[in-house]
Amino acid sequence: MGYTGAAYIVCFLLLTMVLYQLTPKKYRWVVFLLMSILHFASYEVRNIGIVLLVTGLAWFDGLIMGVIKQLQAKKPTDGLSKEEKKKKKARDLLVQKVVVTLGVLSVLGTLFMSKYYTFVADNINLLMYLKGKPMPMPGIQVMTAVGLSYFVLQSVAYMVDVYWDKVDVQRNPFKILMYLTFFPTLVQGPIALMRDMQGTLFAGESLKLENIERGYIRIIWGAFKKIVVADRISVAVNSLYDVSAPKTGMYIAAAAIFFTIQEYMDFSGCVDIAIGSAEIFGIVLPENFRQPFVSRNASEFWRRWHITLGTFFKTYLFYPVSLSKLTKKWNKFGKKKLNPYGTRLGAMAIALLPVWLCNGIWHGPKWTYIFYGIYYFIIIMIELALEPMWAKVRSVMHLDDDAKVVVFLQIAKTWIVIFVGEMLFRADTLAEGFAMLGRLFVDFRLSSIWDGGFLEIGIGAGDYKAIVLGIILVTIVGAMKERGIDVRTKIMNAKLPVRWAVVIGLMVLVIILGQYGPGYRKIDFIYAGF
Amino acid sequence: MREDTLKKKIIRLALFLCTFLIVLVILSAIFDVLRSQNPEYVSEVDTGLWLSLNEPSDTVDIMIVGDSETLSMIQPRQFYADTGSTAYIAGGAGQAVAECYYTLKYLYRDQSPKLIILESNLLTEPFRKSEYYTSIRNITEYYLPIFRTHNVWGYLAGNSIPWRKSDKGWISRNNIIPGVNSDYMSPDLHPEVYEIPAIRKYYISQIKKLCEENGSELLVVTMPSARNFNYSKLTALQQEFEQQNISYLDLNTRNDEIGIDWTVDTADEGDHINDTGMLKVMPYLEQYLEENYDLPDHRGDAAYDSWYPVEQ
Repeated sequence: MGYTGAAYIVCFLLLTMVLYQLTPKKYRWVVFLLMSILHFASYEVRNIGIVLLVTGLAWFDGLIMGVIKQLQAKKPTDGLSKEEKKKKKARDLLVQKVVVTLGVLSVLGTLFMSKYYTFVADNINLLMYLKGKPMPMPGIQVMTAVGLSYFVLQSVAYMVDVYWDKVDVQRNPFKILMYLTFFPTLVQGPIALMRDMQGTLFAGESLKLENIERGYIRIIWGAFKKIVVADRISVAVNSLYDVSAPKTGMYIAAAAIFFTIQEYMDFSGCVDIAIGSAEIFGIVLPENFRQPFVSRNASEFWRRWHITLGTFFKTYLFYPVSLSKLTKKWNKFGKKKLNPYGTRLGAMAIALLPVWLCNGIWHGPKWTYIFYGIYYFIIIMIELALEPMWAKVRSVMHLDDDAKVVVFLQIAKTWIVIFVGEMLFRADTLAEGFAMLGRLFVDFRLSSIWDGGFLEIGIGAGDYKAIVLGIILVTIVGAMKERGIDVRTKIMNAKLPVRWAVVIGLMVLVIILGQYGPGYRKIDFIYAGF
Repeated sequence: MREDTLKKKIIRLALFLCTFLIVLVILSAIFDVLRSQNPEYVSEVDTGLWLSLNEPSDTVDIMIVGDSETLSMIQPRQFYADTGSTAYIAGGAGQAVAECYYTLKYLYRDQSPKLIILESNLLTEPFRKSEYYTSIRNITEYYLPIFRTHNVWGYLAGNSIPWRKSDKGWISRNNIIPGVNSDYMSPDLHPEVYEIPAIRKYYISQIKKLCEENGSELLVVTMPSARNFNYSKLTALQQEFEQQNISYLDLNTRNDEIGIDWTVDTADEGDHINDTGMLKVMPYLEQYLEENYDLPDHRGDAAYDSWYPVEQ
């Protein structure tokens, strides 16, 4: 059940609202559970076993952790010496670490077997084949489930948070199942943590018209981004990336820019629908985007783009690695042998490398995705390394850090970084991605923009007009948000005729300009495939 | 806002929905005018439906509906030259039976055909759950056509018009891709019992009712299709149409008279017949219709001259 279809926006959400409101407050989470299962089943019912397995593992691990912590707390420490107390604490912590590690590895193992085994096996077999040795990895029938990469991360976060005492142990496995499959976040996130959600997710607050209005405005806005801009431009993107008809020059640049636009509109549109859907029921989901295209460097871009994935890796990988023995050893070594600049860079590299490797791998079993992670690692390390030099240049030129020309150049540089990254990310293979990069400088003619060639890539002048209109509207709303003005709140506070005119106007824009209906193929959300 | 009573809130919500509905009705009317004024601005799938609406009112005697199998049933201009009756193919690729029903409802606004020919493949092709959704979508599109005609804006704003070579709904298939089992109707190959899905049975009864209300006769035809048809489907269709008292003509079991040669008469390994296949089916169908139906002959009436074959 696609998030942009009438089946979801009208029928599914309305039915959920009715059932939710008619159910006693205490059991409203059960409505979410049933509707989430129904939503999952609309994609694929046969692979629900994976969801149940991940749920079971997370629930069991949390439960065991809770029991162990209780027992450890009950054990009397009176009469123990300071040294013995310290030893006991270390022993307790070790037991907890073993439990959480086993839980996390079992869940990640499920993800590996379902999503990455074939990729790893194929690569090992290829390597052996090239060496003339027998291929050792057997092919297995793998099962996967929609949203697997998202709910696996959520389950990992839950188990670690129980270990860190950041969240209460959830004794009811059905509540865990509901949290992991919660219908607004199932397909594309945002990756919502139990510690942030448990307050509202199980509260069963009554529906409020204000929430319904706010939620639906956000949903329509998301649908606008997706079916007016992303789906329309996707036809051109497919044509520009068609390996059977390789493009050169300006068309390669367009491929990277168009795909970036498609991906942003597609992903942020879906997240808008997810956030709006949850908002209807008074549940606040974390934001996943914050005007990423005004970022002044790659690090800032990743604080504004797919925020919840960045937050996950920062919380559960970057910080633990930063505080690990390895980093401490490095810092010790740096203090003795290196200057503070080198020590800091090295420590950052130690903490950032696993983050970006995991970021790339998380997107899927493809070398392009893995390289995408490494690409951002290299870019961010270069940015960190050059920062002192850049500060000196600014000082020599008497340029303020926030001078318009500085900001402009930084944003322009970040755009190039983004576009190149997206070009490699979207390419079918890494070789094709680099080949495209090489062809960028072949036959590069600005005249390609107006010689009619861009009308031969599957979209017409009308499509471009709709896409440009969409980009302008999204840019205006984003610019206002950047200045602290929430357009939705403005609409909600406006007088009734204005409010209705804006909302109906937006709905009409989606209905008229949207790419749907006879003759159009439904285009899946990009991030639903990861 | 918070001080509003629940009753006020409900009234306001109802008023909002009414306003939105009115806007959609107005937009539907505007886009219907745009569509009729720009007959070439239709999506490829809707070619048959929309273009048939652009025929002068009450000039089509036979309306052919169904999926892609209909597109090579007859060549309407040659059919007119042979019989003097006007037949329009309003079928479309992948048309579901619900779509077919609402296509007919649309067509009856402008046309009063004497005979409706429904091609049966849409009743026996593999069932998809999405047919329930298609049904709801078609109801919405029938009452609020903006959901179907909205893409007209794109052509008006400069999108290129989809290439098509539809001639009174007919689309030429002049390639040959053989490679089928010509014994496909053997009962031994498909001994299983085929069950027509309930939603399709429902829409068949609705189509029959619609035809009766509009004074048309209904004939269901199964086009020769070695890939899609078999004995088990034939039995299921025969039983169903007998129960519903609907005339049925299967062309697969009459190949001795028609003479389809699956090595040359198919465009895609037995899925559809090609132009040479159509030239064998059409005379048979012409004769069958002449023997069983009282259809008018307009030849000699200048108002129908546009139906004669166009000189190349």
